[in-house]
Amino acid sequence: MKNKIQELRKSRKVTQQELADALCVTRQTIISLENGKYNASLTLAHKAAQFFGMTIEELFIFEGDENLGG
Amino acid sequence: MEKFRKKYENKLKISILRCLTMPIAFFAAQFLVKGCSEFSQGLVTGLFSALMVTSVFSAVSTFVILHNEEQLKKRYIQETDERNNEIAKKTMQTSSLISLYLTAIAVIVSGFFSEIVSITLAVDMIAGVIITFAVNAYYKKKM
Repeated sequence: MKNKIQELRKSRKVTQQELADALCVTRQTIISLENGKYNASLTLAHKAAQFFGMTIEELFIFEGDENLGG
Repeated sequence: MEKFRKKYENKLKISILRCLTMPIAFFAAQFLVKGCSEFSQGLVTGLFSALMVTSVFSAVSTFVILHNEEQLKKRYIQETDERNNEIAKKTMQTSSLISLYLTAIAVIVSGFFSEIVSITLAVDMIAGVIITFAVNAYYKKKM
């Protein structure tokens, strides 16, 4: 699943560590999220969306056939 | 975070309790294996010494963390980080599967040399499978 975390973080001049502290996760988790290596849980996605002041759908781009069992 | 602090306070209490009871358990175990072989005595001594060292280490490190807000938060993030938890879960899944296959191979190979070893390994493997099914059933009910 793609996301706009890196783009938004950079535009708001927030460091990875600051974002990690705000979301109560490690910096490595932020790096993995930005690289698309790790998909956030609903809780983390909600926290991240709240941090950037947008909805989960706006922050995370769901690409159709991901784990829909089809 | 408060829940986490409580968890660590309980951990400290348990560690202190372990530190206090371990020497008694050590001497009790020494008494029980008095007439046993040197190997058994050595095993008991080694096991209890290791338990004592880990208890003291756990008590000291928990005490230090509890009295340092920054370290407590760091530990909280490390322990609750969902990626770390996911990695731990996948590591356990993969490693138990690998060890299950390796034990199965060991059961067959050891069967050519020693019946006792082969049966012991087979029992260990079956016990592992039964435990896995039991834990799986528990989580199926829970979730």
